[in-house]
This record gives sequence, structure tokens and C-alpha cells, in this order.
Amino acid sequence: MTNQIDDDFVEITRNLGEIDRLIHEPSRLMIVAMLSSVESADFLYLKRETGLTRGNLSSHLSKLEEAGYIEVEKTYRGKIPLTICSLTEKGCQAFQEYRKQIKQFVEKT
Amino acid sequence: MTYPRTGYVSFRQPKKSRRAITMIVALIVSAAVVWILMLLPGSLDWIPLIEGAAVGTFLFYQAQSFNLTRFYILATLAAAIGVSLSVAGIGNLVGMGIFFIIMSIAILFSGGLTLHNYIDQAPPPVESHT
Repeated sequence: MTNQIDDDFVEITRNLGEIDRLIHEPSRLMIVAMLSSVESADFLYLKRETGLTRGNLSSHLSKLEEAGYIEVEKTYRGKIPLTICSLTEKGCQAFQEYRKQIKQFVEKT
Repeated sequence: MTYPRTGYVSFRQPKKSRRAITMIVALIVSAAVVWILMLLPGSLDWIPLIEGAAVGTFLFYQAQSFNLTRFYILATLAAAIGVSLSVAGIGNLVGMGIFFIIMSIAILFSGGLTLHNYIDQAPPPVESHT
């Protein structure tokens, strides 16, 4: 058993410090992961699927919107008000980069 | 009915290439069915069997795509009805009609039961969402 730590491993582990903390937070990770797999989803759908409370979900959506990762549109479907969320191009790229970093870390450890 | 209960989601549309592949496969399957019908002796008697195979295959593909047990059941039912009608000698247009009547009832029942369960399990929220 070697006592040496692989240089790649050290570098990848250090790079974890630069991970996108906005996406890394578990609740926001759930939201971004879900939005990455659909065209768009409304507030109620996200609330049901993530299991977050209304206030919690609103707060996380606001943070993601401020960072430009998601777009939030308030609209109607007939008479039913809907708050539609979708991932922006920036959010998509940020999520792909996050996935790549985590994948590298998991593969090397 | 669904928006107030479980929310709204818009799924990604399949890519054009995937749609093209699906169309080509459908055309090939249709051509194969016609070719088999032409080759089989007394071919019209085997119509329910071929229908059962075609519909069953399609339903099985749907079951695999969406991972829904009821589609597996419907696929098995389609195959079973097709085989039963052909073996019983009820072919031609009569067999075709019976096959589609039974499958229509089965699909309607399956869909109705699913809708009933959905309404039971997903009551609309009391307050309106923001």
C-alpha cells in the first residue's frame, strides 16, 4: 500500500474548493438538476418534486435567478396563474461544469 | 385538471433525428406487416395474430420508454387476444373488429383507473401558488 498521494488526486481535491457553491447546495442542486432535464417547469411542480416548502423554494429560486442561472416567468394557462422556471444557457453551462468537476472527483477517489 | 394538482412541466421535445428514425421504423414495420400478410397462406385468418403482435410490440416499447406496468399488461393482453382469436379461427374482419373492441375497452379502463388514482392521490392545493 503506497503512502504517496497521487498528484492528480491532490489537484482534483483542491479544485473542489472552486466548485460552484450556488449549485452545490442540495436544495438548489435538486432544482437545477430537475430544470436541466425539462424545457420548463412551474413552481408547484418543483415544490412537489423537491419536497421543499414554499418559502424555501422561493428563496432558492430567487438566488438562482439573481445569478442568471434560471429565468422566471409569471404567466397564465387559461385562468390558472403559473410561475414558469427554466434554465438559462448560463445555468446550463454552470451545471455541466459542476457535473464535470464532481465526476472527476468521484472517479479519482 | 393536472396543473392545479401537480403543477405544469414542459418536457424537452425529441430531436429531429430521433423523430426521423421513429418514422422510418414505423414505415419498415408497416411494410413488414403487409409483406407477411401477403406471404401467409389464408393470410386473412392471421390478421388478429399480426395485429396482436404489432400492437403488443408498440405497447411494449411504450412500457420500456415510460417504465409503466400497465403498458406491459396491455402489451401482454394484445398478444394474448391476437393469438387466441387466430387459434380459435376467428380471423378476417370479424377477428380484427373483436380485437380492436377488446383492446379499446382495456385501454379505456386502464386510463380511467389511472386517472382515478391520480385524482385520489393528488388533491388540488388549498391556496393558490405564486
